[in-house]
Amino acid sequence: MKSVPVLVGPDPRWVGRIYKDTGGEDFLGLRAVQENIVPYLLPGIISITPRARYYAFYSWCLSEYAGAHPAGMPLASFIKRREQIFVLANLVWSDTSEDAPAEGGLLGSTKLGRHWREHSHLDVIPFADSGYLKASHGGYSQYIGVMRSLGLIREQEDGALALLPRGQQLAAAFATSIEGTPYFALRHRFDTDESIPHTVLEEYGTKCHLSGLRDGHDRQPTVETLFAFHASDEIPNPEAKEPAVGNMRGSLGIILQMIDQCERPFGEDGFRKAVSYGFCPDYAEYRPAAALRPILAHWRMFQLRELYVYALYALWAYFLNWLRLHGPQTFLAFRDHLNEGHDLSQAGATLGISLPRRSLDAWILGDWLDGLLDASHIPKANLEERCQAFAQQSASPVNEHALYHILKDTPPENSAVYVGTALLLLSTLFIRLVGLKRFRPDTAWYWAKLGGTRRRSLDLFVEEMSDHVISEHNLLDTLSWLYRDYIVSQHVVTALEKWRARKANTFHFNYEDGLFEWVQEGRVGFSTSRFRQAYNMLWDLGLYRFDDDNQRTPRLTRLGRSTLQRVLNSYGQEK
Amino acid sequence: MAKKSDRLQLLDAIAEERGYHTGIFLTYGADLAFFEEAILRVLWENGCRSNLILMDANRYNDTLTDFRGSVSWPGCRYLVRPVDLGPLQSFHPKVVLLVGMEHGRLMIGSGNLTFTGFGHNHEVYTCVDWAPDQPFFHAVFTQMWKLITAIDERWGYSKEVGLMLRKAETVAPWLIAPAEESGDTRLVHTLQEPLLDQLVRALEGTTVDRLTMVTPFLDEGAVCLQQMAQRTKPKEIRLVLQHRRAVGNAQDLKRLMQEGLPLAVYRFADDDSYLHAKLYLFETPRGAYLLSGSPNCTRSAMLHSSSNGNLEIALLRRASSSSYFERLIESRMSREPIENIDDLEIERSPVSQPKREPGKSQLLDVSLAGGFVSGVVSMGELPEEVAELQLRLRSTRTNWVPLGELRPNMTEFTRSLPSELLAWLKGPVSASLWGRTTEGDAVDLRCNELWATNVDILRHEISRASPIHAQAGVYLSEMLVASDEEWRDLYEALSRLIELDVAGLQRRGGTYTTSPPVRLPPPDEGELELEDTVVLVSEDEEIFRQRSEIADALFHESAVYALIDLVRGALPGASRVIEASGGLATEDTAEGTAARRKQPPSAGLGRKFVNLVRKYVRSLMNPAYMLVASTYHILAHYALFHRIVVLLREHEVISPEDCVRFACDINVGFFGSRGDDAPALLPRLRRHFQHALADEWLEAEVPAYALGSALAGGLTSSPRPLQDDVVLAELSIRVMAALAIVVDLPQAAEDSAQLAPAAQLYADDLPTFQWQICDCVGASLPEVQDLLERWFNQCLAAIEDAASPLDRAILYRAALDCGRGAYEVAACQKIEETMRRWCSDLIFWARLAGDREIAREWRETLVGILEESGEPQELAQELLGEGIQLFFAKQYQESIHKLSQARLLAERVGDEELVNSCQQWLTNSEVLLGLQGSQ
Repeated sequence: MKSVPVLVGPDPRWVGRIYKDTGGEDFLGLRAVQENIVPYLLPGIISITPRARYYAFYSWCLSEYAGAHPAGMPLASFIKRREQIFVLANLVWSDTSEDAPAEGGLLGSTKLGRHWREHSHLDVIPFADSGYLKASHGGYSQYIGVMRSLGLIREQEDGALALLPRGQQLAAAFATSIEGTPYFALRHRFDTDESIPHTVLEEYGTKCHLSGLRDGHDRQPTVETLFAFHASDEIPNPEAKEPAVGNMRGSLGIILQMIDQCERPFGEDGFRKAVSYGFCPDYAEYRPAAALRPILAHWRMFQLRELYVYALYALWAYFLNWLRLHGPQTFLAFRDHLNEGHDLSQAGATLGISLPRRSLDAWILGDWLDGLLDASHIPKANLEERCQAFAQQSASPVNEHALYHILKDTPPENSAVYVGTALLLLSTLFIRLVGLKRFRPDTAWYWAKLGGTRRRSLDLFVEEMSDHVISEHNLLDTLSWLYRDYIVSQHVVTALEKWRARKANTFHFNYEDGLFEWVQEGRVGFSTSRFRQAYNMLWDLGLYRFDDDNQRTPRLTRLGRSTLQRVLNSYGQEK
Repeated sequence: MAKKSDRLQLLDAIAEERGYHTGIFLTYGADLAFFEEAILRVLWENGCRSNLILMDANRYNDTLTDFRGSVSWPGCRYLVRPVDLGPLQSFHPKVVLLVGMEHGRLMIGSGNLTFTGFGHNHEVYTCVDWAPDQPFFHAVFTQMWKLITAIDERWGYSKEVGLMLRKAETVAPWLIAPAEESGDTRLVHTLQEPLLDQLVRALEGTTVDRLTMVTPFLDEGAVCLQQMAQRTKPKEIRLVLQHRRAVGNAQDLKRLMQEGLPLAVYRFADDDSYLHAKLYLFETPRGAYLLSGSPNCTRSAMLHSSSNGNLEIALLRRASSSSYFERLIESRMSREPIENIDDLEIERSPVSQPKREPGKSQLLDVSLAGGFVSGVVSMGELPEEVAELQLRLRSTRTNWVPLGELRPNMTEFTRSLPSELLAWLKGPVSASLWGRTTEGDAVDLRCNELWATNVDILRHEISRASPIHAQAGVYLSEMLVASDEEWRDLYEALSRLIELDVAGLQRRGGTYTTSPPVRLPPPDEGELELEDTVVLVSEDEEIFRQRSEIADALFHESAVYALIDLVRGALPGASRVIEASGGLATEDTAEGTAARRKQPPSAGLGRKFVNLVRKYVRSLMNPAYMLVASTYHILAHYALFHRIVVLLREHEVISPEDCVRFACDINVGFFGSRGDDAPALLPRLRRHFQHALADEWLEAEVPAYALGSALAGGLTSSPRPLQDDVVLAELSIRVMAALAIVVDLPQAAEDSAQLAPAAQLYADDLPTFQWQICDCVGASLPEVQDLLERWFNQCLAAIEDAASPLDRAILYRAALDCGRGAYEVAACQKIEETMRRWCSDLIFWARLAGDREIAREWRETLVGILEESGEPQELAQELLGEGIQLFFAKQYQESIHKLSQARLLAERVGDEELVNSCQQWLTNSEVLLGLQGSQ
């Protein structure tokens, strides 16, 4: 061998990490589809725009800026100053008014609330700096999108922002609501002053506070805007990507009608249940008017998909929990565990139905589904016909919402009930979806197809489950398939997408040498439906009130009833 | 190297260089979704589209089960193949090899082809490069290549993999070129010899002061550690293990220490991620040796070869001092050894995993191509109830293909696929072998499953244009560029695809693709036989076939072909759907086209285009370029540049006069100028003027653009040309004659499908264009005939002076091509006498050239002509008489023609006496012709 020279050339090196952070959400990538449905159904509301009065307030700010503003002051600064005064006035009103409720949804109130508490004892309140909200245009940044969707504003090709006639009407109405206040008279001064008198804020607060919309001049224009009475009564085909502002009327109309028919406290859970079963003749809690049925069909697809995603996330959380306790392990070991530890009778018992004690591999999928249909008292026929019959009923013991609640309240450690219930939920959804697809396909089935293979659409789920039924697979094979294709693979695909998009490592398990290793827990939950925001806005508008006896049962006000009637009439049908 | 930071960013190292053609990944386990998302995507965009993963058979199975739903492209954009060493052995290397014409990058390390292996675990890799001016690690590359081909020979059954490897060798011949081995960096592997043996040999008995080992695995009994210690005799051993993660048995380590092994256990300093690196540092008085790569400290990795252990790959590096490697290890281990080994929680044994059952039937390869499924199987014993076999194909659904009975010794099958099945096989497809009872029930043979190679899709995907090239294709097909941005995109695409840099080409040894090999006649093997014979393919012929196949595949996978294909695909009569990379399809609507308006480029950009055309013309005139560039490219560029020239004229970048001048220049460059000798006598033209390339000429649409530019709108009917009409007319004759050498000129002039692409440029409509072409060609045939005859004679005359047998063979072939062209021109004019004369000449010269096949073809042609002329026997008598008369008139050449024809006819009718008579006079004429020549 030659003498040893000093080594020249590349060295062995430790490999660097290929990611920057580990944060994220929607780790199966399934909720992304939901986020396409809600903007179609409620395009004028998003989850961070919960109060109705802001539409008029920001329209007024824009109108005021267009009319006159301090020389050289950009729109962002102008809006932030007006917004700060608006927030302070609302806070003063909350403090001073005896029956004022806590103001939820008041943008910027966290930092300005602190500022207010520090200075509320003063006669003259100094203004805080503009950093009370990070966004350049303050809370208006959150409302821009919905104001655009509702036809209040439009960005022009030349870059200018146009306040459209509907926005101008709202602005004028808001101005009328506050025109008697000293602030209104002196408002231009306070655009540049360093402080504002307490009394000015106090008087302004009595007229501008968020809950005061129901008594303000801006209420009716806001009703007109949010219900989009000007828009076409045709429900646009979602595939065509047409403006869907008209759907606001139908969606808010559904909520009004549910309120009208409800006999007990009403909330998001009730809404979700009602949209799921509203079409079922045996569902008594909500009977939709014919005019609202087309839009309700879209809401039903939304909610069925919510339940589907929830069940898959539950299975996912269970897998991770098992890995945490027993990993690193092979998938085959997990499959064996599923088979050994889950006879489904316990999950059935929780639901109130009797199922034989069998391991998963002893259940043929078709027999299992037949068993569920038997438990639901569906007459014997072929599977498709039975599914159609099932889809028309809500009062079955095998009920998606009941299953959802059991699942929600069961910890993953209760393995038999947890996995069994998730499987029951998916099976029930399959039965209902087959029934819906075969029975009455409509444009709402578009949402079942949305997501395709990449996002595991409902339609794909139905088709692939049907293949498993035809192939006479057992439940173990079926559940393993769901785990492999809808959970493990789906997570890998989604995590890689997130990694590519922002170099985040969102893997909840590592995979090395055939072994899965736990990294972090999985979370389960619904995506936002915007129901809460819509429900709040209807309250702001004074379209319902709560029973004096029971603060939780809503009742339509006269305006609420007449608005519902207008909604129904707008579709050319009497209530 | 990737970056000058401490850590190696593997993905950056893969992505940062363009110019790789082939990527080969050896790995134990692979996450194919990660590969597709993080690696394939980037390689694809960089033009590296031949990609192969070789992985362990057990882990391969995971890709078909655990992660099946996450993958999109196995068998369709890349190949992934299992390597099955045996039930208790593993294919365990971790290697990335990227190969291009001028670059090579090799990364050898410990991380599998997974997210964790490439950027989460604690892994170590070494990255070495090769370039013509950086040849230091050439030997490592050639050794790795030998190893890969050896792996394929031993465990591979896929023809596509074989083809992929051969293509890589063709593109990067440096991989198989001799290389000098370096003592400082050497590749070590277990294909034939255990690693420990190689290590001991490398150490040459020198004292090992200290051995430091970093490993995630120890074998049962720590036998490997013990053996290493016994054979290298280190004075001190430092074993670095990770708390709670390393696999081993603490009791074994304690026992070894009690037995006197100088062992100290250290804790790995970072528990944040999994320690998966494998490092062995031997410190000796002569220097330090570092082994890094895939082998763990286990028996199967270190103490066995692949015949009964794992296949492992590592690099053994040597430095003058251990301090060279200190930074790598010292910073990652605890300062002090662990006092009590039990403090370090190490797992006692790995999780047991199922292993493949030996002795079962195995599917070794399966591919889908042209509506057929074919495969290679190794048949084991079948259960009694199995009446026949079937193939289970899984894509989005499961489908079955009956195979019938496979005999025990049968190893290959091919079956056609029903058309309804083909629709389901668009994406990834996996296959496995199943049985079937007489009742039709499926019987699970527990056969392995394979990703099928979908050859049609693979070819299509590899040759897809990138988006920028696709857009350039649209501009050229529509002949419409609407903005400066579009002009810039077009220029960028063209300048990237069209290789005109002679120096660069010469340095690299040619264009990205290779030329088709030159087909020369086989040596004369005696008298011609009329009967068909069984062809025995020689080794040379087989090599020729393989080279042709690879050259053809490389060109059809190239980016320039994709561009041309797009231009062609969007031309009138073809589909208007342009597919870009990534599966995006944009359908060009009438409104879409109407909305865009032609816009000239800015002055500077326009000049760039003009300069590009000028550079191309200079290249055509440059023998150095024409000899080094691929013939495929020369043909492809011809049509492309004619389109570019007209595009520039239509966008007012150049005047109509300049357009004519450029078209002329291109034609002069490609066909030669009017006064030049036969194309075969000009070195720069010799390679692409072959009748054997007729299909390539037609595919490249050379005839259509040549005729269009020279005849229809390009030269004759253009606005007043700057050059003399006579000059242009003579050039046209040359273009037509030159075309006739390669393709059937009259037929090319009449073929509307062939002419259609060029019609868009040179005429208002296709019928007008076709009429113009036919008219011009028809009127020019006599002159073309004369020119071809002149070239024929020039070639024959040049044979005398040929410097080598190869040159002589080329000239013979060129003469025969000229003669064939002349015959076709005569046939078009229906001049029977001339046709017969050419046939006789071509038979004669083909025989002299030793090309029996050509001679036979011309004999058949001649017989056909003669038979059409009358009774063969009477005609033979007549020709004999004419031949004798010419003999006495001392016109020996003509006499030979007649007598040859007479003999041929006599043979045909079986008149032996007449044959003998003809032969006698023929011999006389040939002798006297020879004497006449010598005088």
